[in-house]
Amino acid sequence: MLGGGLDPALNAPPMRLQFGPSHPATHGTVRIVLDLDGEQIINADVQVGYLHRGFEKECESGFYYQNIPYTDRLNYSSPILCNTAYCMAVEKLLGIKTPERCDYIRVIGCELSRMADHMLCLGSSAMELAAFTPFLYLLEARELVLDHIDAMCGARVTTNAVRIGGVYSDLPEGFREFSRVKLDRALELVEDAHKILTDNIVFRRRMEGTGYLSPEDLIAYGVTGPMLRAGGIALDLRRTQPYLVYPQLDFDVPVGEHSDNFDRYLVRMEEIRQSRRIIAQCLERIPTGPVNVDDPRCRWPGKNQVFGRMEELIDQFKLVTEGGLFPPGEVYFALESANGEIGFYLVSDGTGKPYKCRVRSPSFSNMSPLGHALKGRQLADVVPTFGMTNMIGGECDR
Amino acid sequence: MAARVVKVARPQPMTRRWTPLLVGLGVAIAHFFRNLLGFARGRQDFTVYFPEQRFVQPPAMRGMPVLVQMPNGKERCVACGLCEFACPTNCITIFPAETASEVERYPEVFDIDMSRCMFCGLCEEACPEEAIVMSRQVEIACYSRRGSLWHKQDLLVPEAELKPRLDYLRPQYARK
Repeated sequence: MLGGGLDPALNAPPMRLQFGPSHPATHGTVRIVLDLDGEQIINADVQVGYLHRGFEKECESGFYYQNIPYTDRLNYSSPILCNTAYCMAVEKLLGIKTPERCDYIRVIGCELSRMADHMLCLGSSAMELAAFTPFLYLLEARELVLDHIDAMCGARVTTNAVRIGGVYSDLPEGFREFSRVKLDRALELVEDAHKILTDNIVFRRRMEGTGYLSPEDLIAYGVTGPMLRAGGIALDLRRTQPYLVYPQLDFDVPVGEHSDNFDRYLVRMEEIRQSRRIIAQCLERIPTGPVNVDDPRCRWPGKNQVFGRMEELIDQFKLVTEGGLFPPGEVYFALESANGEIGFYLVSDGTGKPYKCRVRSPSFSNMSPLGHALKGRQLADVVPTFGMTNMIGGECDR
Repeated sequence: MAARVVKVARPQPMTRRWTPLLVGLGVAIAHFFRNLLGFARGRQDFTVYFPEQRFVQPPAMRGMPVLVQMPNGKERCVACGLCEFACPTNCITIFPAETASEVERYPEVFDIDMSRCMFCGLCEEACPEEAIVMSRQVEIACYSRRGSLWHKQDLLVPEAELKPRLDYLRPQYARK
């Protein structure tokens, strides 16, 4: 469709605009080639792959445990979700069940990551629409959330917090009180941003009705996460394929109905509040007990035994140098990350290294209908639509 | 106890144009005064005047990996090479050697390429001797690439200086 604006007498070809790969509004290296007729987009060609690092190939040359730090770099705004997805895929291969306390700690980590991811997404999207103040509030809130992750595992972004059959460390002492104070303050800041943005006329005019995708298109393109739920389809793997301790928790899955950018914004805003609820419930119910599974095939023995006993010392040497004992087979495990379904498909040939590790990354699927959503729209719709897609380069390009 | 599906409450179509803007302005002004008051009272939540002031890091903090120096000045490392195996980025290089003393193996060369190290902590977790631990040091910028190659003598840190990290690690050793 040529929008009807092209005057054949002028014989003017559409203007080609290169949006990216390095553009202030593309937080991630992606190029969108836009063919413009005035302000109207005739064709949008989304080109990804600028951050391709060969994650999947790299996984084949490392032991299973060595790939955990690489999964941090997939989605660098919510790394614990990627850690957990990878480790749970390996656990599914081994067929082990982690202790309950471990599951609770993983859920806390996952929900903190989800909050941090949504805060960054909403904040940067608002900033791209020239609302700088809520960006600062949301980043301050994100810092408070990252303080928790820092206290849990010693790093803010490159967490490496989850292990195959356990977690890096138990929750620190006094985490519940620490968390209550900090998360209350973080949620206050989110509410402040909500007060500024949600009713703001400029923000709403640019978000409402833009980036529309019909529910059929969403399903056809394999879109998951807040983008799908904003279209009214309540697919949340935490609800439909429960894992960890989610069946025991009480939370809402927010869905929209208009499938536009504003609903995506509202769904993310509500998910931050629901994550807060989940964390509060987890901290209340978390049982005592071990945080690591006692399985000599994958989990390294405790250091006291390594220091003092010969068998465990040999075990440690074998596990570190050979990677562990993994049955041959193939396995797929997915969980609900901040952007949608992140899944790991592992093929094992019985050695300590994966034969193949494939990532089903939500950003890649969510990016695929972007060109379709932009076609026939205005140039100014590119920025909010791209912002609400929340494409993370590390995850999309792997 | 289950997940419920709820529709997000979409605010009414915009009828009032100015009140939401004034509400937003009010929030921003409230933040301004809060920050001003906090600054006057010395609140240091988010602005840390870096070289003079430092962040308060949690006990779990992982900085660069260093070698533990025993009171006799020697390293505790016995050059078994497990950290070299565990390192995902292959940034550790060890050449073992032997002496006549009681612990006969020692690393003749122990280099860590800090430009490749990603502070993941797997070397510390693999070490069977508590010889390599993650310190709290992160300020390792240098002017040349050669400067990011740390040798054994640079990496040795007396055990007493690593006490915060060892105090954090030792309670975890008891696990199965």
